[in-house]
Amino acid sequence: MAVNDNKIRFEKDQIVTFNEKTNFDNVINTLAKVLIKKDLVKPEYPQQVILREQKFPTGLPTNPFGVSIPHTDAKWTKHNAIAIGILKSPIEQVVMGSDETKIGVEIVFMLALDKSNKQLNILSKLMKIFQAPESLVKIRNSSKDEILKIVNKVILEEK
Amino acid sequence: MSNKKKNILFVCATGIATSTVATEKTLEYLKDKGVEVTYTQTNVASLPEVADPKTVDLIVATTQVPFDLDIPVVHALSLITGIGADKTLAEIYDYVK
Repeated sequence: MAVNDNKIRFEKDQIVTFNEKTNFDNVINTLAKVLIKKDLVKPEYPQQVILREQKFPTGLPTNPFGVSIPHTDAKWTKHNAIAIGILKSPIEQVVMGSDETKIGVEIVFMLALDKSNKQLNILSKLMKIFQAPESLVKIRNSSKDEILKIVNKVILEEK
Repeated sequence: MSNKKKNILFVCATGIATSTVATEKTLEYLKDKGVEVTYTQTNVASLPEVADPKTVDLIVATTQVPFDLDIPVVHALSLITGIGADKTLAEIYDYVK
């Protein structure tokens, strides 16, 4: 049904906790593997996200710690989806729109966005979380079930 | 104030993600202020084709703008993080009022 195509896929297996020290590429490859298996993105998606991040960094200097929103062109996406990486050991990422300002990122919100995002505006919904320090802390410290609840609340909500 | 509506070009790397947020926040703010504008959304790679100083009054970008375009540019990262958003919106308002 066409209606379902406008939904944003986000399920428990799309949340991955990284307990050990890691790096950006590993986070993206790990999260993308889940989306590829579910046929939500194309196999080239992770490589495209990694390449794009080098040219257009997506670190956001939010409070009380940074987050990032890696994503890529709609052509590598099959279905709107989100995957979340919780980093127990922060990674350094470059701030969006800057040359080399770096921030410590503790949550990676990897976005698979197709063209319908122009109407859906997934990012705008997620921003309710970015802009609320208590929500970010809660996500970093909560179980996957709770994270699912917090994120679904904002992405399912009508504007 | 001229009668012609000002035209804003919203720019991000893909043209569908952060520029959509910047567009939404800006239009909401300008509507509250009673300012009507026209706008387009694009990706940074298409910028040289679409950024015509004759038709575009202001660029609002979440990425760096690596071209010399003769159009004022407002950087809009604050519209994504929310930190300093009021200042950015006021700056946009000053250009298009």
